[in-house]
Amino acid sequence: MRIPTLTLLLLLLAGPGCFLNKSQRHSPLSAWAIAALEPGVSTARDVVEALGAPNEVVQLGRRSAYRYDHSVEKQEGLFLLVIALRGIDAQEDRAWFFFDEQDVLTHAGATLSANTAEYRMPILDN
Amino acid sequence: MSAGTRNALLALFLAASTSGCITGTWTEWRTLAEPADLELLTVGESDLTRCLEVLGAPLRVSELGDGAVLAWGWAQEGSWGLSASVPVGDLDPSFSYQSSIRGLAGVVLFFDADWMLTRVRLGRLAEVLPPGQERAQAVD
Repeated sequence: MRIPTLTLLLLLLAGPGCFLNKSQRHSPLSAWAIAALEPGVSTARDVVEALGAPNEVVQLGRRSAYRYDHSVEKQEGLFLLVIALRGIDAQEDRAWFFFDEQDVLTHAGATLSANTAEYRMPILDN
Repeated sequence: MSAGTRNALLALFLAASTSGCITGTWTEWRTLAEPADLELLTVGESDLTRCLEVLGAPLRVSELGDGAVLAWGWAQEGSWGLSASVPVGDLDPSFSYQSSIRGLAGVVLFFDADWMLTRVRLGRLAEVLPPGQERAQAVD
């Protein structure tokens, strides 16, 4: 049995494929809105008015903490006949606000890096 | 091996691979960033404000006694897999294997009731979080 060269060439040309995919969760966090919230002055009400409903509320004794997040995940894939390469990069904007018993903001921390997620092909982009 | 057998095996291999019957996969996964300045934090001296300045927002916050536990996590690793299926009539036997991803590496900080840092644990988050607190999806 012989495989014609043209058939083999068509198989090799048709075989490879690639994909790009981007998914995100929740809305991006506003650095400006976060910076405007001041420990010792702002309250839980101020935080909710500025950023909306939190994604998580944690009870810490009689104190509490609110979490806000936004994530971006980018995937890149390449199929080469029997081999598939897939790269996944997931990054987040995340902010936590800590309140005392009177719901006054005591501490705040934010990391805004969702926009650093990138399409990365394993092996090739290393 | 005769030329005929070799060609037959090649044809079978091509037919199986191009129809998606056999696939090997290499996946690289990166999420979040490892904090660079962990050594700036000192047990008994650093408070929550300082820890948030140095490490940014934690992945997870939970209550522990009168204090709290905060966790930061990150990952960059790869795993490979192999899958095969051979549709034969009404039957569709298949096989798949995926090497495990170990989960997030991370740091866990323990705070007392006055938000003073009391302890630091580094390692796999699922292993260094206090018992009963390692169930978060992001940690898994």
